[in-house]
Amino acid sequence: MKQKKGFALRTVCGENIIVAEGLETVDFSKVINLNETATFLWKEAEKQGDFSVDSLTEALCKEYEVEKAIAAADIDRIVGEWKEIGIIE
Amino acid sequence: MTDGLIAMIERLKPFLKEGKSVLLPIYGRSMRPFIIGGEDKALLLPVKSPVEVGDIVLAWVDGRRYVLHRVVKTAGDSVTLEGDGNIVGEEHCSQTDVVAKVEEVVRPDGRKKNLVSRSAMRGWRVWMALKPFRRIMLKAFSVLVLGEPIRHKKQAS
Repeated sequence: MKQKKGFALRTVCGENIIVAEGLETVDFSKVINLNETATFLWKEAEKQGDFSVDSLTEALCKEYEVEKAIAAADIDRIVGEWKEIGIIE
Repeated sequence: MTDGLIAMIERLKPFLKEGKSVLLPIYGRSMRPFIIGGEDKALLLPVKSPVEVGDIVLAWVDGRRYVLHRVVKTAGDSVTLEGDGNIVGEEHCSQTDVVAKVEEVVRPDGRKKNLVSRSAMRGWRVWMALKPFRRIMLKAFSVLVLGEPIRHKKQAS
């Protein structure tokens, strides 16, 4: 899986959001709020380029103390949301 | 106006400050027939000069909420706003309270509609001249153009 082009992670007013951002226009009809975990995962996904639920789970478990099975379930859900919203392919 | 809505508008201000335009979905009926809430998305532009009568703007009004309404009067730094689709009511702010200007909206099918072209402004001036008939015209618009029901069912008590 890969992040789709045109979506940027921005920190605005102390919150992390993903916006569809072109050179001139930002599309606020597609703003996604990210909590701390989701922000970490999004940044990881960006680093990895081509990522999977497994690769993200590995990264999350390295960074945070969390059971692999629980992490994998959460990540699967979050990635599922990203796919539904259309920000990854 | 909910805190969530205020928070969202606060979030888009930094992008405007960077000189970017922001596409924002619009809700509500206060700018009918020109902007259809629930359908149209407004293209918010950074404000580069004082706003003038006829401009459609997003502003912090009366010290308590944001509205996307039409400028109907300016006097020095004072700005008076009115919703094109409102029968009564006007709001007040200063030029510095204006966050963005709107010149076009994007319809659900992706088409852009220019709200400040010569013909659009002519249409607005006619709309303003017909203000005594606004209530009935809004009703006709909602039923004939938007396909809304003539009467809304009374809610069961």
